[in-house]
Amino acid sequence: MEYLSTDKILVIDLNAAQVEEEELDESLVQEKIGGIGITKYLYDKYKEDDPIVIGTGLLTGTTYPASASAQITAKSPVTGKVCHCPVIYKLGVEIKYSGFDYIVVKGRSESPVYLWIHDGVADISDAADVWGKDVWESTDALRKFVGDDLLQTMMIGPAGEKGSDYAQVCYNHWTSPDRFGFGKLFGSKNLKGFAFRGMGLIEIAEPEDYVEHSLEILKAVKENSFLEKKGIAHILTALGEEGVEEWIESVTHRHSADYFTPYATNTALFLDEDPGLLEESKKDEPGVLVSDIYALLGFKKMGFSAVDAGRALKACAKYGIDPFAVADLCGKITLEEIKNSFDTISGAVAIPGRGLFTPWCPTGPIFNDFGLSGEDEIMAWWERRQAVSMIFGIQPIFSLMCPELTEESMLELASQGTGLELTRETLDAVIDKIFG
Amino acid sequence: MNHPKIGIYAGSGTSHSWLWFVDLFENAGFYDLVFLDEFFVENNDIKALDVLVVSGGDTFAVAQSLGKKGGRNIKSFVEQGGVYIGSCAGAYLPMKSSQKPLDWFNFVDVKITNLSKLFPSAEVQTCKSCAAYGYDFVFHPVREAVSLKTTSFFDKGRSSVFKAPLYGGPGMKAHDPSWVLAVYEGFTPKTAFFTTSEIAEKTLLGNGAVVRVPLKQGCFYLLGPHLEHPKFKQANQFIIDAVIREKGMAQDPVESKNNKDSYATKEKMSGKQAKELLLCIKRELSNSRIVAGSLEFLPVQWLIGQKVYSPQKVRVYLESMWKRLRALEKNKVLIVEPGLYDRITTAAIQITIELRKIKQQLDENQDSLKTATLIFDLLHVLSISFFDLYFATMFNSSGQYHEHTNAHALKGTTNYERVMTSES
Repeated sequence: MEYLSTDKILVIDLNAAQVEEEELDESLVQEKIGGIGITKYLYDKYKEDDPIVIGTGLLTGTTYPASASAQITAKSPVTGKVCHCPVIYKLGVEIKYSGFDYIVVKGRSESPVYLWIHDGVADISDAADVWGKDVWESTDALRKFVGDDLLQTMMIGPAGEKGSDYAQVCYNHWTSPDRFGFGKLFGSKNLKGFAFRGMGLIEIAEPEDYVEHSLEILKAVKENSFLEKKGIAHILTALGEEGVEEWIESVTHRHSADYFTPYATNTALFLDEDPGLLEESKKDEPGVLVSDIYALLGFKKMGFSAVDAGRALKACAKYGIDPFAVADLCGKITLEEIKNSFDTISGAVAIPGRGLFTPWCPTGPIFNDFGLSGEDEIMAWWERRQAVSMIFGIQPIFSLMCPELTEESMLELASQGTGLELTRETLDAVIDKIFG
Repeated sequence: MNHPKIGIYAGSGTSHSWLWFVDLFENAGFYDLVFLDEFFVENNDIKALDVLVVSGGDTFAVAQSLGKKGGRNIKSFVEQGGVYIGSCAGAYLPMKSSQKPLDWFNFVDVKITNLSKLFPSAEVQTCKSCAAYGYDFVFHPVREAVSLKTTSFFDKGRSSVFKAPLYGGPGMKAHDPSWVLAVYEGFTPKTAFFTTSEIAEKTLLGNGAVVRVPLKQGCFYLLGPHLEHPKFKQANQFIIDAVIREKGMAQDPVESKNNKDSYATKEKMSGKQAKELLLCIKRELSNSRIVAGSLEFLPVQWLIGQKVYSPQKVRVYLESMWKRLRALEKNKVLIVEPGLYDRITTAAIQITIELRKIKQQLDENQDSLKTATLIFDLLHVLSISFFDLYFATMFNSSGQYHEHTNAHALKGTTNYERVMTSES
């Protein structure tokens, strides 16, 4: 596969401590398009080995608006279903630029390891120095070892190592959309996580047309009035939650967007530093980056101050545990009680619809109504929208905001970018297969 | 056409500009390249070459490394029909000088025009604008692209104008005006002035930018600007034309020495072993370029000898190898001299270790000069070894291969051993 691709699938056998590369056949892209279309195919291919499959979308890392996302496909150790978790922030793009479109991890390592993926090289590395450390310590240690603060990590913390059902795979220092207990799956394989860094390039079949067309789409996207807003509080307001903006205002430091995403879906809270600070904080841990709106809302509904909610989210991020599950299930009242409850919480987090996609993502449109009405129609739309986003690599929350990101435009850009003819019929067939 | 055997000096004292010659000759299809260090010159293995290239760097450090014996060998090489191409520091090197150790290299009667008795007043005073030369000063009135014009001695009846960048190279006055093949003709919008324009004009315009000095059967080409810079294609062609012309016009044709003197046993490596070697190179180049990229965010420079090195130069070396990896990966067979495998893998791994160490030193505000010096030495060692592998392999696959000579198979003591020993 020459275009929009690194042309490589990486297969890592943890049992044998072996790494193999396969070429990504053009025919597979023609049939499955990309993203979860192909991660699902690879999952099925290697399912006897209980694989974790990481994949990038076909448009990930390009100039198509919000082409930020990658995804993890694996069988949830909690629900027993094959689920798809988006990879957000700058991490999704880094995966593609580190030299592989898809990564299959099968088997279990005898001792703890992490996978160092860089510039088309995959190293199975001893994780003895980071096993037992929390997510923040692990990420910092790997960045220091490799000598690059731009290193992107996908790590578990103590929750994953101990086999908690609520263990998350965290991204860099932050919590993730993982509501499936993928952190537990990583831990069961003695896999501490991944470190990614790539300085590669991808080729585009018709580069000038591709860039021109995507910038036209971006221009249309930018005419949306909601782009005057930023951050998680406005999303919650749009979803009908009241009082969040005022509650969080005093600790809001800045908002940040995922790669090439016009709306900043993440908000940084300063907890131990002046939120108005305009220079880089000299404190080691001034705050926390929040992408999980429902976890934040959960702590608010428990009566927490914004500072304490931020501290709870930070503690969850370090421990590598799903903060929404903590807020929803722990039944504790104080911050200290919550921190002490990580190993004892019980119960289940509801996964909507077919149970394939994460409720970290709001289950309906945001800011725009997309002409939808009725719960069934909205759920059907939401599941298809999630599937499409994760096939092409579009930031899954932004795709719920923006009608201009149409399936037609994604198919058209994918065809321009690859030189293949990708049709709606193909897309429908891929989605049918994902939905099973 | 026989392909000339070209030796590129990449030993102590050189800057990264020798890598530009590598690009230049590769683009011209000259794959019979040999990468030399000071021991190669000292052992007089240069007699096997058609062309010897000495690029930019620290002239004093280059002279010191090559030594008196190296100087004698270079002179003998040219007298016997060899072509010496010196760019910037390599151009200063063979000029007459009373300064030690440059006085071992008094081969050509050419004077520089950018020498001042007084400390020159600079419009922009940087470490790159002036260097002490005994009681005098070698100053650099401008940097970046300048305009050159060929003389009638180069091409009778017509002249051509082209651009090349000047990074500390000389303006020249030749004892015999017919030696001057191109003069500084003017400046360009990209020229950066370190002195007043009047001083710059007086120092450079009308004076020699490219000088060819005959010596018995061979000659010296002295290039003030970097005609080999990859962004200046017309200037590049000037060098290629010169090599082709000299090869054809030698009285005793300097036939390609490919068929002569089989020095060493070469191994053809394929299969798993070749894959492992390339994977190791790829892994360590990647590790190195990642940390090197992060060094570029830090406000640091190192003064090594008389040259200022910035972190960006680390990546210039790494990228010069990285961009050739894919072509190597496509070859089923690698041509590997004895000992090359270990030299490459050890140096590549060591560079990653030292780069990670220097990043930590800088993060913790520790002195990093010693580590930086070692890193640049190691980069020379690795890139020389890598290019030996690369060009022997490409030479083989291109069908030009007869008896490619690897510099390091020829001698006992190598720069590699010196660097690795100093580290241990």
